[in-house]
Amino acid sequence: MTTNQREVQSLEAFPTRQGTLGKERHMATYPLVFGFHDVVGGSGFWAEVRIDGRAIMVEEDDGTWFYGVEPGGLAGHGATAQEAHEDFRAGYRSVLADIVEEAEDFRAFRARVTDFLSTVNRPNEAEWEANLVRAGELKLDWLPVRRAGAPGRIEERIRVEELQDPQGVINDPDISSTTQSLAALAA
Amino acid sequence: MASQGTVLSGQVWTMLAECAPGHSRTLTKHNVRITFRGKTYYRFPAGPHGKNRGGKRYRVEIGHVKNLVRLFEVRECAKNHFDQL
Repeated sequence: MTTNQREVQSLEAFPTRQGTLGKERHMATYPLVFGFHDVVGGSGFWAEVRIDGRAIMVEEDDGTWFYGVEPGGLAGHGATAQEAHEDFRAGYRSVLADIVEEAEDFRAFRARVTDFLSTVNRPNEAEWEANLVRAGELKLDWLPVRRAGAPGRIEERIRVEELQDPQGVINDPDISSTTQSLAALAA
Repeated sequence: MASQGTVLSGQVWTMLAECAPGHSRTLTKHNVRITFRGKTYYRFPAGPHGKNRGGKRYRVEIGHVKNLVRLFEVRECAKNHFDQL
């Protein structure tokens, strides 16, 4: 698997942003955008799944959490941001594995995966939008900053396609890739 | 991980019975899938393999519960069950 892995530096050196969710207060909340790209095999089909998703990364008393915005039905945890990201990614893959195991055909798989990927966690989304940073205001050396535009149509964010010939794709090192960025407002 | 960061799975099921009436839970190969009012939480921890998997007596990190109640928008009710929320 190819991942966009960078050495995680201490976050203590960076200014914190106080995120609030009702009465919850976090030490720091970061809005993230990420891209996952996977190939999975099911009952008589292969499928390619791509998503441009959103999450919030939150430092809590028990470590770092990645809370899904879209998809909103999963979370990941770790002692560090890197570990939390890996757990989030592993959780995402476990859901794909669940769905592909249950699906009787590609249509059923696509319907269920699309539901998973398009479910928005509204409170997390509000937190994501409230913590968008102005370009240059907050910088994490290990995380590039990407301008956050309008989410766009679902067809642009989520792609689930049946593969007739997976062999040409499986050996592609970009498959099962991960990218992530800190979402930023326009400068 | 500190124990105060985890809760018993059975407590979560009790909370859901009150705060998400009519919800459904499905034990999948890797997770517990929970659906309420047309929204599905796909990655709720199922616990270790064995008799208690998906049952009442394994511990779940509170962050997963936080995320779950946010998705279902039942946090105000859930706070009656978990101080950590």
